[in-house]
Amino acid sequence: MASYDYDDVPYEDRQQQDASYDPNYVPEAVKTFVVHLYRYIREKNVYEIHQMYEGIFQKLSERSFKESPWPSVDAVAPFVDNDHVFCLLYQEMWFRHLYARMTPTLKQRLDSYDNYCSLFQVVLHGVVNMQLPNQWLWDMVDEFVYQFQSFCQYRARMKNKTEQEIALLRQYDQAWNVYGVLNYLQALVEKSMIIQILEQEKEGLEQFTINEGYDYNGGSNVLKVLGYFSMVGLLRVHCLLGDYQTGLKCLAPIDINQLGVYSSVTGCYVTTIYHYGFANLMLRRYVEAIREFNRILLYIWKYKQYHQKSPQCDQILKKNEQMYALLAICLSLCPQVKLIEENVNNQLREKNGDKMARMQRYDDEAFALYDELFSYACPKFITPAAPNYDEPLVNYNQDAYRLQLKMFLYEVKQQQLLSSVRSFLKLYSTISVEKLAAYMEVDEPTLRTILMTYKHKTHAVGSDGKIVSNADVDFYIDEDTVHVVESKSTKRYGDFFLRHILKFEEMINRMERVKLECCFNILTKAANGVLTCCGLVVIIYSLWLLKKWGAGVSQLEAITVVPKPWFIYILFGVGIVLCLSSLFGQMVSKHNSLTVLSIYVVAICLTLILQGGLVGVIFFKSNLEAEFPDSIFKGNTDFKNFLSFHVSICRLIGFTMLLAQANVVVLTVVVWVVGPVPEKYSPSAGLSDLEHSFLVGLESS
Amino acid sequence: MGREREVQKSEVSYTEHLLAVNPYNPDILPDLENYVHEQVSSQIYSLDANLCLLRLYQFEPERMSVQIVARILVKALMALPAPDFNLCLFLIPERVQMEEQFKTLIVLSHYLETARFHQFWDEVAKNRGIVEVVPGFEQAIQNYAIHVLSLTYQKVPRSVLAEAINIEGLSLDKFLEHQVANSGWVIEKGHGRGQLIVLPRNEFNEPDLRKNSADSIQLEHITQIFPILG
Repeated sequence: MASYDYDDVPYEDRQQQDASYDPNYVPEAVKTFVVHLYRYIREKNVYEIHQMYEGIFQKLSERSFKESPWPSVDAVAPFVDNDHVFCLLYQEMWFRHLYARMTPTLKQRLDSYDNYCSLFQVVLHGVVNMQLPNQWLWDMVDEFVYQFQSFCQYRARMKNKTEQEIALLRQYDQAWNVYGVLNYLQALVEKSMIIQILEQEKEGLEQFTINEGYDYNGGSNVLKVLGYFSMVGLLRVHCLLGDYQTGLKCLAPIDINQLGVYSSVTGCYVTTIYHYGFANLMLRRYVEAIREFNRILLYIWKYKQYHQKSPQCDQILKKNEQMYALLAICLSLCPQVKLIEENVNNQLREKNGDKMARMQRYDDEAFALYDELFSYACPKFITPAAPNYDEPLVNYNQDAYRLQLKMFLYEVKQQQLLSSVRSFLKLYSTISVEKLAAYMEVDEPTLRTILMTYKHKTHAVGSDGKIVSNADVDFYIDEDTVHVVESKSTKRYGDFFLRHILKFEEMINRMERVKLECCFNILTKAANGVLTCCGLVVIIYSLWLLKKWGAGVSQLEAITVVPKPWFIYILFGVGIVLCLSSLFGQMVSKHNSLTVLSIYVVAICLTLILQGGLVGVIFFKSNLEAEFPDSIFKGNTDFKNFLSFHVSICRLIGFTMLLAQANVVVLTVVVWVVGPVPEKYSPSAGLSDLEHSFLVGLESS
Repeated sequence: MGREREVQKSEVSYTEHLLAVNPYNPDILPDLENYVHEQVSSQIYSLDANLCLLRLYQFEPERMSVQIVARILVKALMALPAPDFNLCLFLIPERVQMEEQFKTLIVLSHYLETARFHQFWDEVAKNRGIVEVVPGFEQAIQNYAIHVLSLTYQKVPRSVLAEAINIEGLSLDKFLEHQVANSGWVIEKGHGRGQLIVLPRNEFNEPDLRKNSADSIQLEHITQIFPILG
């Protein structure tokens, strides 16, 4: 039997937590954290709450509480006005952190249950006016079920329990009781009226999914969304109990074929589909399981870079691997490879390709592989009943798992001969029963039973009670002849073409814009390049002029007061402005953002006006020749002629440069109006899901 | 008679009502047990109620009644081709499944799942006691056998049919007569080896019937490309 490890093996020594940990010491960072979090919750600032919850809490845990719990709730209570509800929320996080990083003691497990009870009581019976991020609400339900599962596993390992622990277990037999857990989840579903809300939404009376569960009319989303996620929680609990039918029934109000609130939180999306797929696998609805696994695996594959940032990264990757194992099982039993997207298929071949090839043989090795993959990928089944403490203590934590595994392998055994039938059927369009029996080395009646088994096993009963065909190769028997029907792919070409027509249209539009924009971009770049060169030339020219001026002035008689050569300075300034503005323009054209472009256009216009004014005043308005009276030059006519020549050159340069710059500005404005190319050209539904999409919701409200 | 039926109806809805409002309440266990008896006596069936009862047994193993579990399992067998029997077994602890009558039921289920009707009927003959308590058992299995046959065959030899539904000779003739009249069966002369029964066509034994619905496009999808077409 394959190894089946439970992750929370109790280490007695780890339970004695770090001696240096003082539950009453509250570091400054924690104080700031709770004060802010409390304030944001009161202000219903979902965005900030989410930042604190996802970002800061993780960061602080990583930095200061890697191996010790957070400060106790009593220690932080004074900073939050001893707010009862906030303390419950804080403690919920406190326990979650403890479960994730340490091994909880029995006492802590019991306390955590009490805390969940109080919290859910408040939500169920009090009028909560909080607005909490979906992520947090999902984590609550998820953790509640996880801690229940963990408690059942813990209780089932009876062998090394101390008498004290058993006494506690006896005393608090209501804690993590399966009735309690199921009833809390059920109560959340019922009290929140979520089923009715989803019903009404179909008629357009509610906007639950569009608002992602948030309430923009000042109400609270907590009960509604907790109720929604509780349906997923119920599915998970029922899967853990082996009650797949009821689990799927609990999830039925959520339309799994569409995206919804469940897919807006990645952890929830993955958990939902994992359990949904697993339940369908156990119900022999392989095609449904394959379709949904394919969908979620493609989603994970597409957005893997986003997951790396998320605190639930490890969880998601673990489930990812497990689902590839389940997909390998499904495809071995029902080889509908056509349903699998190419990238998912590649990943699958990479991970489980050789196993799948060997699983087709249905020998002992193949069964061992089915066993291995199932054991690796199945949920951690639990035995919900409390043990009899008076009987000798034995571990029973693997009982539930063994039962499910046995049942599954039994099913695989029943399908043992189907793969060889399948491979023969693929070779023929018609074949007599007699001949096929000879090939398969069985007698005719046996072959008839095998063929009927094939039909029965490939035709599952769907959720609506109708028969659904899962067969990849189909056939029918006409008296003694088997007619094989190549199952044509029922791919929806219509949808395919529609999607691609839209995509293609968008691509053409985009390309036209790109073409236009590229053209203008190149023009602007070229103009800017030329301007930079001009600027450099002007700077060099003005420096040369300054030198000549200095030389000329030194030859004049020392007594005369020589006016400052403003026109040279201005020219120098114009050169620098030219260089800088064109360089800036080059930089801007690389950025494809509207804001940067508009800032640039405004800045350059202002500069242009200023520059124009200055050039006008200095070069054209003031009479330059009058500032340099003949008396200064005293016969140095060479210098005078030189000056008057260069003054007119300067005028010319000043004017042309202005024109050139204005030209560039016009070009940039055109680029600006055409607009940068949008990066994302196909509206992919999944992307926004990852970027905490309630932000979008808040803006639109 | 009419009144009796009415009483029964309200009782049914009472249990179903309990199931809807209070599925996780240990107090409904006796009601559900009674409901199992009622399902047996009045030939009705509710998988959800039975799963709920098995779940309660799972939570409190000391309250489990082997006899009731056995009835639930027989009822589940009768629900084939739906996988109800397995769904129930998922909830029954292994040590309970080790009991003799459950072992027999599991063997029966195995024969049905692998379409070995001949062995199945032999086994049933040996264990009359287990299945006889539930009326309608044979007929339900015959329906299942016909279901599997009609998935597989367009024309089935009389002998194969006889073996599957465990009816022979004159009673088979009668049965066939009934089916010809009510279910659209047709009897043909076979190639020397007796009769052939033509089963009604469905999308599973006549794959051509299936393809039609798959390649249509809904109007609302077309509207997306109207601006482009225009």
